[in-house]
Amino acid sequence: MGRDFQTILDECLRELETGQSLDAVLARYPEQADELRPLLLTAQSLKAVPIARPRSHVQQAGWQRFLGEAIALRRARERRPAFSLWQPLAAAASLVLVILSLSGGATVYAASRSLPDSPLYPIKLAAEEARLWFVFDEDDQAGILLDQSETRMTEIRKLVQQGKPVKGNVLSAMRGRMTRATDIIDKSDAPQELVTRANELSARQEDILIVIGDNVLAGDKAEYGKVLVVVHEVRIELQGLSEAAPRLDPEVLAQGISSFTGLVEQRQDDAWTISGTKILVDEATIVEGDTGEVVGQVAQVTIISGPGGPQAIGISLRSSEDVAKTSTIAGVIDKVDGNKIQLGGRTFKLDASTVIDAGSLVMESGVRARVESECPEEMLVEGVCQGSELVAKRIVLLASEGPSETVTVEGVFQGQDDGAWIIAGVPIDFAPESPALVTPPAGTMVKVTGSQQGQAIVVTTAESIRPPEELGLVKLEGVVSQVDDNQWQIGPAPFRTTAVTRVSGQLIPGARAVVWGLPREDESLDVIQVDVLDTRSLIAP
Amino acid sequence: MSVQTLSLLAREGSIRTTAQERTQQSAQVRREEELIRRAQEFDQEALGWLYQLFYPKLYNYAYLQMGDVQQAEDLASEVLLRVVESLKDYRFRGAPVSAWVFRIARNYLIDLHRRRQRRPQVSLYEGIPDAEDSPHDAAERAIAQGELRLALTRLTEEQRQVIILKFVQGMDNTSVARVLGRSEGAVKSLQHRALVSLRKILSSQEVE
Repeated sequence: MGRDFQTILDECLRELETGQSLDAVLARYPEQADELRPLLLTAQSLKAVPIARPRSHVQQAGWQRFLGEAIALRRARERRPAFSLWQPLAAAASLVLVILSLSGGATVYAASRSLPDSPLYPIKLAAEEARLWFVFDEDDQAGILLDQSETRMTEIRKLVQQGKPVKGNVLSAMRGRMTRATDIIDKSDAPQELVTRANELSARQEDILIVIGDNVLAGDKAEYGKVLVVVHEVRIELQGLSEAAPRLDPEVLAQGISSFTGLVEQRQDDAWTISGTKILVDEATIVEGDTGEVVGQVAQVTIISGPGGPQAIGISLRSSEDVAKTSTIAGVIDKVDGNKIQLGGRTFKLDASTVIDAGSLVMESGVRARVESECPEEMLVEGVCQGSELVAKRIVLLASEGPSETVTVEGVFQGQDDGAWIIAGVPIDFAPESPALVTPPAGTMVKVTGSQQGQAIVVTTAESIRPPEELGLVKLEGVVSQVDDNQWQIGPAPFRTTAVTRVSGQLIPGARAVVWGLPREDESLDVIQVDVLDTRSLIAP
Repeated sequence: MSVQTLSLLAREGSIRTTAQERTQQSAQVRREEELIRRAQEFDQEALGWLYQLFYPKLYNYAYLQMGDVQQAEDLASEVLLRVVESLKDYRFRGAPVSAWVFRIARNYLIDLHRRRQRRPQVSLYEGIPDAEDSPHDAAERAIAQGELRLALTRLTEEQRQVIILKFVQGMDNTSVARVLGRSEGAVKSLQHRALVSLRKILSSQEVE
């Protein structure tokens, strides 16, 4: 038996390595199974032995010795002119010295503030790499890589705010750092806070990436698709959703994504019916919110074009009560001050989760914008916001013209308080010269347009967009494209205007719009209302 | 080569071999070849890769055999200094770099052992309790680091190397054979005997 048994044992060990179960492996060797089993169990238990990890400060000190030895060896070689390795060695020496001294240097200081369109940007990235060289604790490394990935997100937001295209270099750097951080988190017993942070960061990155698609130049679309895939898959992996999740195709993501909102009517394993529309789901679909009883909740779905129809990559569930907490105020930005903007007599605070959809516009005073916001939870008293600042959830800069004082407020009407309408918790005062308004039933989605007069509005129109009982409507948001006369699309989602469609603004290809409609059997929408947000196309003719 | 690739290599090299990694092995070996070539030119990224990849592995390798944090750290540092000194002579022949690095580590450990044997008051396994000192808590539990170290002290040196290199460091038979300077057949034989011995030792610990 001797040697043969050794070979069989070795084969069994290799088969276990491929992920086969012990019983499956032993079944192939019934005669030797009894002898093999304890040995294979021993081998398996060895895999479970925790790995001893060195102390990071000692490893760091060792690195200084190691690097010092390398520099000494290189210099020794440099003193021997017969060898032609001089130049690369000198270059490497310079690099080491430069990197070691960079942290306090003026160039790096200037580079540290550079954006991806600056010639100093590569120095900024190199200095970040150098910082990692002196960090040997893997959890610390992962934390720094997450910081750096978050910095890429900030840079993207700045580019977008300044109306500049988002370049492939920053997308690639964001992807690289996020990948490296999660590689470390995957393989180590990373603290839960690190896992949570990576998960939250990737979710915010995905939100922002989805809306900046139009800011990415055609030549960088491939990188855009790749980074979207990475942040999405990081979320799947860190949430432990499914190891069998199908891979997303970067090319499909690069082609277009749209946002679809409706009421969940039915849930099946492979598809959800949302306001009459069948949306495909699979293991790559990330569902957030209360996933217990989903029927009856409002779902905001991020969809791409799948082979079998609209495919959800993300579903965010909210109760009707939560949806009613969001108000939308559109108008001209009065002031941009750090992380705050003023618009329509209100102050909105931006935080790390604020999504900015800027098209090719600059976020500055004088630009028209549409701000979705919520009252901070701690400032809500009996459903009325007591604070002077709202938290901006999403800012859409509009390619729109019109009088600077025009303001629009949208949200769920909750009631009246001393003459003011409470819309999504925000009290809206009407100027005395406003016409008398018919008070809608509580729960109605309303849209009030007028001119700003201090904190109040001189109302010109007040509309009921959606009565509370009409829950079958679907809402689409995004950049529209025209298929033919009455056929339009937002991302991969088709919709159709009819004789009864009410269009606010001029529906032109390349403009952003919010579309309300009823689903048809062919899964397109018969549109009831279109609010065109831009008066000019975002896409160059 | 990008730093991203360096990171990938570090990840692949530092965890135990999985089926997927095995399929990537040849590509990994090619990347290692490129990195070693760059390390020989004192390329900073490549040197960093070498250090970051091997310091923790060498530490773990040493700690399992020496049972002392400080000695394990010293060994990891010293071996890596030998590695950087030997880089100029290294010729890539298709085997994973880890086979070369661990061969240096093993030789260092043997030298250390010999030096200490000349001073018998200092044991190579200083700090590790004898098997008889083992508490009864070994039974029915997964093997923990201390228990494994304890059990390893009762194997022959070559058996111990096979267990650590193959099952803890995740090396394949070819690489283990290169570290030990033995044939692959000999490694299979050592592997068999090592597992049998380890099983017996652990069983006896459970009974005690």
